[in-house]
Amino acid sequence: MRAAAAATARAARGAGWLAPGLALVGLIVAYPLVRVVEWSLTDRTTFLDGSFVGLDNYRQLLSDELFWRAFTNNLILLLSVPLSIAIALVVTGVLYRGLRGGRLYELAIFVPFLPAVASIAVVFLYVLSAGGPLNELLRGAGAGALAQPWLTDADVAIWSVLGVVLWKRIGFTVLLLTARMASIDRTLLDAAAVDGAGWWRTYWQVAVPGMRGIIAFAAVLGFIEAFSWTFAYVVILTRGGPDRATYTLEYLLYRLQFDEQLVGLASAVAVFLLVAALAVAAYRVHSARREALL
Amino acid sequence: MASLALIGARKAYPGGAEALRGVDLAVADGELMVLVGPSGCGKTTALRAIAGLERLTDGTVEIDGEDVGALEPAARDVAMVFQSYALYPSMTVARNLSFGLRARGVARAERDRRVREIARLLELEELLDRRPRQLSGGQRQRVAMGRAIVREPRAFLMDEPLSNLDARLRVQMRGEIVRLQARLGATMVYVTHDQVEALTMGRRVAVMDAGRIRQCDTPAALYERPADTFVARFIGSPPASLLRGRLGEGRDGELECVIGGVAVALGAGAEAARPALRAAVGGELVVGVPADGFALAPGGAAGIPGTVALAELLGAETLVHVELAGAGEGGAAATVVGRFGRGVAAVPGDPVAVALVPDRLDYFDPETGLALDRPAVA
Amino acid sequence: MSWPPDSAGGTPEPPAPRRRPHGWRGALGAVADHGFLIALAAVCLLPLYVMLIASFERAADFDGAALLPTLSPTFENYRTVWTELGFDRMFVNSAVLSLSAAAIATALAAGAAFGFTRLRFAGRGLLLAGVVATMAIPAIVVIVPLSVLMTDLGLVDRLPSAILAEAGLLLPFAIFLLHTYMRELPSELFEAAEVDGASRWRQFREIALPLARPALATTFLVSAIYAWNDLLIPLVLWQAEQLTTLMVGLALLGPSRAGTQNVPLLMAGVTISILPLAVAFAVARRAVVRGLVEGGER
Repeated sequence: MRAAAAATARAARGAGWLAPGLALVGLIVAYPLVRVVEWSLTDRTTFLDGSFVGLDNYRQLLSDELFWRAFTNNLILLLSVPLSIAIALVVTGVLYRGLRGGRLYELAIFVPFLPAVASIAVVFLYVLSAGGPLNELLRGAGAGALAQPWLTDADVAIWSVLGVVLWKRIGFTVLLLTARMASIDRTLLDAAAVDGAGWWRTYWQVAVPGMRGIIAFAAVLGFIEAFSWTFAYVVILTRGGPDRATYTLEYLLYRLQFDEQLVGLASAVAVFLLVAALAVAAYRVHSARREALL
Repeated sequence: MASLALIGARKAYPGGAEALRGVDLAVADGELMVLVGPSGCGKTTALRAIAGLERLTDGTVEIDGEDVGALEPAARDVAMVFQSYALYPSMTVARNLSFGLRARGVARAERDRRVREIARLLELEELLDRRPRQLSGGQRQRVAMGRAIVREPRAFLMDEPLSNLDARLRVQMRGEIVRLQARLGATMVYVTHDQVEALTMGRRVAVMDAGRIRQCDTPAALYERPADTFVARFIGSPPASLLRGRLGEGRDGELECVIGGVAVALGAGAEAARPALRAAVGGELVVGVPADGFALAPGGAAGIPGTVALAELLGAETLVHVELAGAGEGGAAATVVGRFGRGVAAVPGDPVAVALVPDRLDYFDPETGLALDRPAVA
Repeated sequence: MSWPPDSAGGTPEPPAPRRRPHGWRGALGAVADHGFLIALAAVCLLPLYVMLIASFERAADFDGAALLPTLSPTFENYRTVWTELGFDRMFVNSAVLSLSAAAIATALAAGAAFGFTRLRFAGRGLLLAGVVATMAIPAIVVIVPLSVLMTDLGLVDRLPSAILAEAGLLLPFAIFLLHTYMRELPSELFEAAEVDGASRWRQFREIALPLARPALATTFLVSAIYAWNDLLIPLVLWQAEQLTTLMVGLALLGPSRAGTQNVPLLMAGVTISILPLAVAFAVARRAVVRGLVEGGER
């Protein structure tokens, strides 16, 4: 009895410190999470509470061509993950191969990560416009044939968005990899070098395996970004157009909720995104456990 | 100041590990008690239990006869000095010293007076505005002491406070702590793993092992009458060596002990000093031989024949390790270590004869390891 | 255990120079390396370069693209967006959102992280795992009920809505960051304080907070950057014109004005939106980088 009372007292003391923060997270994240799942099973709109409709919303989404196009576009943006990691691996290898001024290059490559997606997107609206700097540059370089309406051609637009996402991602991925690289035991690299292995062989076989964890971390962040942080790109660069060719799930959700007022349907889209987020959540909890942070 | 007591103290961790397995310890008002033992013996846990930083699984903690087991550390009014000193890095020395007084709501004027007084006592006046990282190890140690003293607590708990100092400073601080303790008339429990420190500082020393107090006595008694083989092997530098022998009676009825095939007469005084020996006749014994418990003679002389294994010259003295065939458990070889002058003739490989000094020997039960005629534990 | 923790996310050290082969092969390799990195750096910097030079063009002279700096630069665009397009007010709104959300998140996270590190209570591990899991929940997933909730509370178009939402979404990350730092503080300091008679509150205020100052700065700074950069939350919860933030302003103005002669104006606006970040980065590069690496995309 005494032990139980003491445990309760300890829990109560803990609550005092945690309560304000947890209450806010509960209000802003946990409560809406419950609600979004609940509403995805109703035909609720902004103005009507709606009634329970089972899985109708999901059925409707899965039979909607626009939903699948949006999903495909998310998958296309997901290509930024392997691409950014591949490029970052090469960049890190070159940086550590031992040249002067590596720090400056690193800084230059990191710069795109700092500004907001919204700021970057507006810059690229200009850069990629029909008469804009990129096409000018191509024409000036005698590659005028490559010049195109980057954001207004339905076949090209989503790939342009991918280019911008990739452009913004690389610096951060390089930052993650170089951070890890700095903590790799240099004597390992030296030992391989003494054994007569060339730099790239040493790098791939000794350094890169040691970076597996951070590469997984970069991949997971890229994954969640491709599904859940593309909103600002799409809403500014293309508004889903042309001809709804660049819808992503996020943008679809936003339009359903705020233009069409279809709360139930928008919630169902949110649940799809939630599944992706939960996969990432599971990974983060798992790796925090492994690093004994919990 | 106050008296302290642990009664039947047990501490078990969820994993099943037991840090304390029934510890009884009584510290009188104004006494300096040293807890000594190897790492993991439970001495720090015992100290932390008195402070209230650990809750006992069973048993009680008393301060001045009052059960304080349910009280938070703050309410126990004891002060603790940590091995790492645990000085607050973001505060100046002055604020470190006054922290406990501020926490207890002591008025500012009184606080300043006490901090100044302690600073004078410990020669910290020049350092009051410095931060811990700007201090030397010895200075930090003094601040940690000052932080404890300034509170005028009911007792002082010291957890290896000198182990981070270099050897010379450590010896100097030992003396200072003892003088300070005497001057303040402070009740103090002092934890150390260093038996030299324990013997030089403590009026009484409790030797701990595996969660139990093996013996609690004056330094001289610990050395001269160890309560069991653990204490015999722990106390003294070098500690006593343990040999196996069989107790018998000589022709005239006097006790003798056969060690390594040689009968050692224990002398007329042995039985008077250790009445229990008579009852052990015919049985096997563990014989404790302290470093000053035998003489060396050239090979072939009277005594137990052996071979010099190692001779360590330590400045003014030499430690000689002698291997004795058949003197260990089950007839195995055993080694005795003795302390001799620097001129002793001992070259590794030389045959020698070990002549035991009967008055200096201790006798233990081979099964339990307990001394025959065991002195009282507490 | 090393303390203070220096490996929190690991700030990249400059690559140590390696010995490369001597002679012409080494020289050729070096040229190739530099060539590759210069090309990549150019790709990374060019968009921001054309942004900057366009922002100094005269709108009347602008013909759709500028690749070289104009010979007659003007600050007129900055003056115009600042005073006539309302970027002055948007800047203030962004600052209010960013600084107050970061302050709330950091303050609440400091208390929670202290609770998680210094107290042992039932359900602690589970709660902490919950915090880490919540870090991965993006705003878009909760935006639907969140907007309804704020409407029901009557907070839409009032200051607390976006500030609280932003702080709540940042909080798990802030708790995690501070917790990983505070757990490395030597526990003996707090035990000493406890024996000295200090209450939890005093331990928090006088020992934990001063020692965690670097982590608090990182947490605040990175939270502020995230909140400054966010679009979705203020777009949905601060719809009133007088509450428009820079990001919302850019999102509304951008698509309608890009590709027109308003580009210089727009680029001036974007530059203004990036400027505080550049300053923060220049002043506290290490803290920012460490926080970004730890937090990921929050």
